[in-house]
Amino acid sequence: MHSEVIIIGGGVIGTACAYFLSKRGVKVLVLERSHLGAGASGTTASIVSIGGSSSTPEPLQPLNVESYHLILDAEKDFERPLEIIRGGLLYTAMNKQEALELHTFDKEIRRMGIDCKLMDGPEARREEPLLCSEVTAALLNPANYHLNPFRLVDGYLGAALGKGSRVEYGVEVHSIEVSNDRIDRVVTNKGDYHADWAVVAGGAYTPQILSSLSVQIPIVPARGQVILTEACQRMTDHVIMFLNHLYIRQTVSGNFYLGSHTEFVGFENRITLEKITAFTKAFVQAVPLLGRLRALRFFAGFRPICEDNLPVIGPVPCCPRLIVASGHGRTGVRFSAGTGKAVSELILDGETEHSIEAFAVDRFAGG
Amino acid sequence: MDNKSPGQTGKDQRIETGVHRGKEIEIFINNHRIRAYEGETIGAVLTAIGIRQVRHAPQLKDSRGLYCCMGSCYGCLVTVNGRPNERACVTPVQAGQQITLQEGFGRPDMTSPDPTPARLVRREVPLVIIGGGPGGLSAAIAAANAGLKVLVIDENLQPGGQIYRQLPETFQALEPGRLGVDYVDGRSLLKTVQDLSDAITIWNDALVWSVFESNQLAIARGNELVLLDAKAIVVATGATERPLPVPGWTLPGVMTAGGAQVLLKSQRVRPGQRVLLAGSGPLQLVVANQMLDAGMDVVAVAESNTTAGAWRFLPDLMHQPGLMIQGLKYIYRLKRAGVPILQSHVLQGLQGNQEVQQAFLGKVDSRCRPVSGETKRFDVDTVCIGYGLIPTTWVTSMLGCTHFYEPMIGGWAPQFNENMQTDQPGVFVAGDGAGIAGVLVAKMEGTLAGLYAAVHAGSISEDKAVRAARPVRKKLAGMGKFRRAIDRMYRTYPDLYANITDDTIVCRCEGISAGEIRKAIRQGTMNLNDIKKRTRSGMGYCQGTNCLPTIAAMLAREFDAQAEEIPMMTIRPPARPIPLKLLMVNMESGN
Repeated sequence: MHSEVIIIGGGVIGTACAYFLSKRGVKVLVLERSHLGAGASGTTASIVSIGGSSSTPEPLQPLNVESYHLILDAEKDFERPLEIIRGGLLYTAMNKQEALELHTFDKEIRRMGIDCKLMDGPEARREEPLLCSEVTAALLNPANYHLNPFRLVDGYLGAALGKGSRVEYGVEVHSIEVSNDRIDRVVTNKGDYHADWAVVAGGAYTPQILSSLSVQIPIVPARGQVILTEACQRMTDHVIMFLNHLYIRQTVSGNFYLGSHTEFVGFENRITLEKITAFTKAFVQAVPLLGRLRALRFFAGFRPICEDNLPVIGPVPCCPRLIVASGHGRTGVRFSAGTGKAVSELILDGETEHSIEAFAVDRFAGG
Repeated sequence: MDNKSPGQTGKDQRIETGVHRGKEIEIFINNHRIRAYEGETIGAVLTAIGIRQVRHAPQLKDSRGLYCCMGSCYGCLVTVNGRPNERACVTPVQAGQQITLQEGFGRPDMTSPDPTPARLVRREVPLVIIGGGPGGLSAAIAAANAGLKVLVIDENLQPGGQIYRQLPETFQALEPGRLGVDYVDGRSLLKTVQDLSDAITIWNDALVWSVFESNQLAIARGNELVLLDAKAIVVATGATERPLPVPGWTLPGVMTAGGAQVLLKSQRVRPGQRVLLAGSGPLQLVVANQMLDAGMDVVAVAESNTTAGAWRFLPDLMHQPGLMIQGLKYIYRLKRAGVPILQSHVLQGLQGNQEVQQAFLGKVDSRCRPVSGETKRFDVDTVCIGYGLIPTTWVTSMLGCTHFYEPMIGGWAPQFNENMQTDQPGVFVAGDGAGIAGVLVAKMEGTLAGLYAAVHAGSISEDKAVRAARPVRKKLAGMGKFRRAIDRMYRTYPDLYANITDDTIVCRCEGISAGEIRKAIRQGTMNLNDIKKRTRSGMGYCQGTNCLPTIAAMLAREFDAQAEEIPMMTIRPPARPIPLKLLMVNMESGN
């Protein structure tokens, strides 16, 4: 069986690649070992925002702005709406020190041409009545929305399938063999696959998939533990973000999604009482209403985090037709469209609109 | 939230015979003053005064009423004293209580008193038993007699489980005999437990909601978060009723056979006036009899299987002549009352304006495949669905036990050996949670589990357990043949699910239809987690209890696979929703 492009991984990055390639007439084959969004794409708040340099390293900024708009555009091609809520990102300071940090954020975000709003405690509570009285300051970044990640993955893939692409589930890629700049074969539990191009979008499993090629990519799984509450009436459209990286968002269905730190514990996805009790205390302190709700589900997932906090996007040195698109850490949804578009350009045009040099696979060599 | 009149419909549905209720009190429903009795649940009071549309939920496409009546389906959510989403069916009334019938999801009222702060408690016990039904209590008795201190954790307000469900403590039975043989048997088992109260502690209204490392159990008990370490664990979590979605099954007035039984037996309230029972197995004969006793009009009992070839099972059934005679008595009583028992008939659909008014039955063949023929229509105000039971396996799943698919019962059950021990050392099972086998088997299995848990915890020698177990094993072997005959007579066939039309709601919590689920299946994989993520089915309050068995059956049909090829879904804690406030504890405290 021969395909133009094989995409390994049915997460938000893999399906975004499939979407952008299909849009330009390429029929791809997506290989997924489990099911759509089974990894990090299923454990994410799916916050899409244009942030300042503290939250978004400089090389990622063009990709960030582009992605922000591309996801909104892509929704037109999807069968089901993305359940987008546009309510602004509300950075919330709980003490004086944090309030000072918000001033820095304010300057950075304004530099991006975004008119954000810095507020003192009382103003913050008027903006977001759910907040407790201890809030000292807040910063509202209007360039923000959040969505249902399963709808996004499903939407990207559905649109690609509509253009003649295919997906196979239950296919686990063991290794990829290359020679003379060609992909010889993709070895899987279901036999060999052949393609002109291959894209590895395997999230935290990417290093495993590439291990036989002695391509070293320092991506590791970072566990994030999440609390989902019961649904209640619509209370807020904001994403409430704390400076310790915890965040609160209410989904279209009414549930509050409460996340999360990163922990480096390998591929261990159990929840721990230590974390969920610590999180709960912090959440309820900041938003007392949450103390009146029930927890519906606790879960954890791995985000693929790269040691320099930048994603890996580009061909492997030994084979220009084997492309890696992974390592987006906590920001896969946010950068999905930009990454998918860049990969499609790399394959079809040989170059990308925005530089992806900073994300090159060989940046780790000898480092 | 409007102030609609509670719509009292003339006759009070309380059954006046057999019991003295608790003290008369007043509660308020949508600001209307309502009479109630201590010990009643909010759900029972609503039923008694004829309010069947408990929760109006536009996002769920229609109203919801009492369905499971045992705290598992979360359909009957009401706002109680400003706290939204409380289950009417398991929340007891209190004098002066303000109950509001909810529109959609409630909104927490921040002006209501702050919940009591949570407290962390750490405990170590030799043996913990999860579930206080006949299996769990028998295990407790056996282990206590073997010299072990036992803690029984049960999520109900009183021990006894479903079959031995007792009257509320404030009620007084005038003629216990009239409350049925199970009530009397249950009383005697509970008496034995009481006599051993030095060794057996029972925690009611306590929920094992998660299992952490080294089999540490996390328990929600009032405002206490209890972390419990035990040398041995007996899981006796019983069973859940098999959901069978048909068009209209979410209408108020449609409930499970077990749910109707709770109202009749424990709360002494008639779930309605004119009832149709549709399902399979002996339970619905029992419930139909209880309904006749309560003065209800039973229009028919529809049995999906046929007893046409039952003579083949006669020799096996004769192993338990007592049970067989009891069954025949139930049938005789129904015949005498003129209640038709329609074999090879399944529920096809339900209709009604806001509440159930008509039920439709269709004919099936001996393997539950629909056969053409006319549909039978019944005018009813209540329908009970009872297509058998499925073991409740979420605790054994969290404990890492291996499960296997049991085609006879159409569900997954934990693997266990002749001593009721699972493949996890120190974890034992008993009763319907280990495979559906009824109360007598549950008691014997409980006794064995209790004995071998005592061996594991070091309080008796293996030799002693072997001797004590011998007579139990013998009786258990005798039950086996009877049980297998019943299983074969009332088998669950995959074609039972053939009637689910695309517009039928499958996930009651989120209002997801069969059509949406089929579409996701056709685009996706055989993995339940996949369907859950893409449709939201199973993401609601009931944690999938009332939809995942159906979705698994739909997956098997769509992929033309065997049911055992559909893996069980990944279990996510909590077992049931817990107050977030419970987690606001200091992990360094509690010693």
